[in-house]
Amino acid sequence: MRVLQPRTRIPTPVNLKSAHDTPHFLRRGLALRSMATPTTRTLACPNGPLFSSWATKSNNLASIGTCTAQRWSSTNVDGPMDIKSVDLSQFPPERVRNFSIIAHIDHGKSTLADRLLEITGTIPTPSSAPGSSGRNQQVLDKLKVERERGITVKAQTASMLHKFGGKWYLLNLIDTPGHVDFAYEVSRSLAASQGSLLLVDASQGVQAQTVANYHLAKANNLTIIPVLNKIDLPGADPDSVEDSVRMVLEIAEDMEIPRISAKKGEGVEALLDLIIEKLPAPTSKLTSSFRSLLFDNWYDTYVGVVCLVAVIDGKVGKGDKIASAGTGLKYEVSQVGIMAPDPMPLLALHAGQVGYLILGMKSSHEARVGDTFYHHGQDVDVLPGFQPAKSMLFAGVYPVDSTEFEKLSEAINRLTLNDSSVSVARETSAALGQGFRLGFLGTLHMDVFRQRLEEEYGATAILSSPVVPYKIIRKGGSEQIINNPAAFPDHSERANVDDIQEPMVRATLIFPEEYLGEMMQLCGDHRGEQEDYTYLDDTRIIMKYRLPMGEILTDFYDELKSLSSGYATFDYDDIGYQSSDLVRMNVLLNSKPVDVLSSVLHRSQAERASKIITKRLKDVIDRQLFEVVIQAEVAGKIIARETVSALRKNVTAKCYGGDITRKMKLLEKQKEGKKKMRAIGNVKLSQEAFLSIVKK
Amino acid sequence: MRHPHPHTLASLRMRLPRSPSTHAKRRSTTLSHQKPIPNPIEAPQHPMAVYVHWPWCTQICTFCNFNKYLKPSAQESDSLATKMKDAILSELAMTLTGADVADYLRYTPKRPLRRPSRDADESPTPVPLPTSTPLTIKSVYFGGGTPSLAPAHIVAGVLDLLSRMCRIATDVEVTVEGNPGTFPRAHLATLRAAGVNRISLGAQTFHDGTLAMLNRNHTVSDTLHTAEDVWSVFDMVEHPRPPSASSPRAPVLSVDMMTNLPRPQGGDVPSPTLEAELAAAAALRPHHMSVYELTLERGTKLWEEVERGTVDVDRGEDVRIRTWEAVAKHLGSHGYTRYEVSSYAKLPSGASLTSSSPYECGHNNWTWRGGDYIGVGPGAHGRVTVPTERDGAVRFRTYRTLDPAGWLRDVGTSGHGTRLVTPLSRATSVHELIVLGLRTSRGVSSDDVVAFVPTAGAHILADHLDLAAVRRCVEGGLLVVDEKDGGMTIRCTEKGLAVGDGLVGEIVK
Repeated sequence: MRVLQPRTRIPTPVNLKSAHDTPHFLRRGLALRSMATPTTRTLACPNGPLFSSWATKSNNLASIGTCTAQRWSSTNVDGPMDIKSVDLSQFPPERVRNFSIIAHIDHGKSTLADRLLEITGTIPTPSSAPGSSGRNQQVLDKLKVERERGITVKAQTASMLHKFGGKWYLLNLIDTPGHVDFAYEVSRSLAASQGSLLLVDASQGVQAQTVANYHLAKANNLTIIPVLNKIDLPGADPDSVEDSVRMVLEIAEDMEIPRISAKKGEGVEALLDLIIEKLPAPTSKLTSSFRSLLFDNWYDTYVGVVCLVAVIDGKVGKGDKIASAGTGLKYEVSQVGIMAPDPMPLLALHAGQVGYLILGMKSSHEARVGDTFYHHGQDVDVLPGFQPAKSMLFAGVYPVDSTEFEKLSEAINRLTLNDSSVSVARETSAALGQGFRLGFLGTLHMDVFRQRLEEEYGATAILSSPVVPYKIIRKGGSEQIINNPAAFPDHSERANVDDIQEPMVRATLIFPEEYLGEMMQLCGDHRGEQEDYTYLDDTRIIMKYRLPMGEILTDFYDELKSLSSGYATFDYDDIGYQSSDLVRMNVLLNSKPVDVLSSVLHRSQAERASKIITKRLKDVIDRQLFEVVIQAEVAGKIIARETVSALRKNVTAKCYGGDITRKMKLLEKQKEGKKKMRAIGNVKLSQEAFLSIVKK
Repeated sequence: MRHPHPHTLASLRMRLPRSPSTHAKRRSTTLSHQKPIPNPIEAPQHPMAVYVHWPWCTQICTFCNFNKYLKPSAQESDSLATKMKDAILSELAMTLTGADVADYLRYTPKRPLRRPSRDADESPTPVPLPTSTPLTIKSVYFGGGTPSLAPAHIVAGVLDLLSRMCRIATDVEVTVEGNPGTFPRAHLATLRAAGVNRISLGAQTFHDGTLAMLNRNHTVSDTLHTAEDVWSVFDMVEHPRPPSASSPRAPVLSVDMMTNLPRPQGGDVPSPTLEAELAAAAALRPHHMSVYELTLERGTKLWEEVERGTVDVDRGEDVRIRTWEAVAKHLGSHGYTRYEVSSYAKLPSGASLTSSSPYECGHNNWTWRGGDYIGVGPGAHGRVTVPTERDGAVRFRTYRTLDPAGWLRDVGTSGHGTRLVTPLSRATSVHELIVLGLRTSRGVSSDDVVAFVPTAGAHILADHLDLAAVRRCVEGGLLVVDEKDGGMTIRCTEKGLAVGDGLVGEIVK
């Protein structure tokens, strides 16, 4: 099995000195070289190996003390500085800026990040990088799925140095996922920063996600610098886009909106100045007791859990004994450092700074995002934590071959080590056997998870069609969240239910005006209620709808794109629950309900949906010895019915000599085929047919 | 039965690589101190059926996928007949002693099976023991091809050899198949004199246009005349006395028909209805009928024609089931009852349609029930239970070389044309009995399994069935199960018979 190293980047060439400062788990090639020549390494810089797997902690601690103290004490703040050999104690909070970049997908966030890192010398520019061919591309997007889809899934930080007004500043870029599914991760990242660059494509203008992310950043009290990107593109219309940015985002007249081309590096240097000038410094106190906010973590095969922290007050150094406010567990800091953008171990992190801690945690479940770390024995105010990630949709996951449950279980365990926002509960289906019910933040999150499951583990799993969590309010007021249609109250239990509610979203759609009719039709078909629509600029409309979340799970986005020739963009905010006339639709084969085919629908949709599913089942069920009756039932009534008639003539005419051998071969084939069938009651379905129904 | 030709066996003995009798003697000395091994063939009453394949035809029917070849020209015919006769008799003689199987498994270089090993875990191929005890021959069936084209002396030669080497059951059934027009009266008389008591006539249809279209080598008028000749040469009666173990069988006629045939477009005579076809067949007064639904077989001319679209065959299930049901209905009105998917037999007058007929094909019934049969001739299959050194009685399936030239060559070198011998596991044997039995109205019983599958107990049948599936089929009106005295019989209803292929797939574990 391939080792999962989510943060592994394509190694960029570095000088030998910095190679020693680079943890081997990310620079295996260099690390191996160091291992092969231990004497040289020790002489050059005794702090060589940094992660515990090949150096004892005590040795390491001592050597770092001497080596780094010598090197970093001579750092001249006014002279040239290299992030790879920096003494962070030189950067009090007022000389630190923690910022994020928020943008609609493809508006150039990753490219801007690459340029910022290059201009500050954090990563080599392509021309100066020996052996490097081509540009740095999406340095921060390290997951395969991130690069493939052009999205950022996990938060990521990169520290860099920039000189402004004769002084060096430490800039920490906290990269955030761009997609609304990951709003939870976005808000975590935003909590660690004080300001945001809101990047808008100067040719495409404001998009739905721009709006959603802007409001999110606003809600986190961040100072926002809108930036127009891609001004070099022939289709760019910066003036008109600037107008709509000012209008939609209510940007003050006197606020300058910088125009850049991240691709060409135009205006990026000035943007760095602007970040220092306009964004506030963290209000941290170096002299107070240490406390830090844990805002993300990931699992590394070699060193265990790596925690990303924002140091709020005080400082934390290697060897410190710290405690978690959330779990009460105590740890010794085995490594502390910044991401530049690869992990770079240092002596300490100071108030206002952002970096990583390695605490010897074995599971990311110990690392509760939003947790406060503090020096053990100290009395500190615990930071307001985050609510745990809230699953917005659920899907059953089952191994295709039910004997492979253990393999699937292991794969899911390992993936969730790195993505604790996926909730996992075991469940059993009469039709599919043992499996799990997984909770996801959104459909993209689910797709990404499925893709990672397949890519990184080769596990062939079926994910059932997703459902949203429904709220059942029973007589007497007790509330229950249901995340599996099979558990949704049937009509027989309805007497004990006071109210049924479904989660709602406020959707923002932005599209060229000629698609207004289609967009309204689409939202109407999905039980949407219009709240507002207005012209964003001369040709585009921004429209807001209240929609049931369950309506936008599967086909909504595809329909939106196809109805608008790809021009419409869409984003949504979760706006809580609303009462709804929901019913459970059961699918019965020869009168036996098939649990995985149950679904929850609005009563008005039941008839149409029942016809579709019964028809689809009819199309995939082969004729058998007996008639198969397919029924869809709602509230105790059969509302759709199809039948697959029984075989009537299925016997060969002749049976002599060689025919007997033929018949025995046929029997063998039938027995083989039988193994590949799933039996539901007395109905047999081919595996593929069944899965095709379950997935939809 | 006629007297055997004295020269046949002598010439055979010289030809055989090892004389069966010497072989047996050698074995008996080594075995004298060992535990006796149950040997059904050596049991005095071990019954056996014999199938002889005659692969030649004068014309190839467009639908036929049997192992058949165009008959060589007249001048080559005589020498071919001689060669065929020698080879058939040689193969039969070796097979009657089990020597062909033994020879194949021990000595044939082309054998694909592992050499017997002492390691029990490797479950080596069982080594058959030679046998010399005569078998009891219950039936002999000459099939083809067109076996009516075989010179009568070949049929006589086979029966002669059998009577010399085996016990022939008093009520032995001896069938010769053939096409109308290939049974001249003189030939029929010789066959009757040789001991043949059943003629199976391939009528197929009573429409000349269709016969021509299918490239049959006869006309409707040939069919009528041949049937008449059979009746008169064999002195047939409408309701012969039923067979009994103590007296020879009364001669009977069987007629083969086909349904769902393609029909020529236009023509002077419109193609007859199914009812008319069956009435015409019944008018020949056969004691037995086989009515086959046309099976389109890959590799036949008809298949190509249908693929090309030049010939149209309605293969819709509705048509097929309606036809199949109509056949039973129409033949029922003529006094025939269905006892197998495609087989019908005349009931004694006054008997109910649900009773069984004394004129069912004994040979087929025996093989379908699970009995041993020897297959002789190119491409013939056999199923024999043979005593073995280590495993006691073991069932084998035997396959002969398919093409006549290759088969003749093989017989020339080793006395038999055995191409492959495979031991049948107990499971396969049981499955085979289920598959075959459920095509018949008598079904399959645990008694049959015990009788024909070596080392099987009464529970074996149930052990190989998915009883939940059986129950569903019983509830669905496809199967009937009788249980008594710890044994069981399962059989298909008419509805079940029509879907038998799917049904066995469902119920066999």
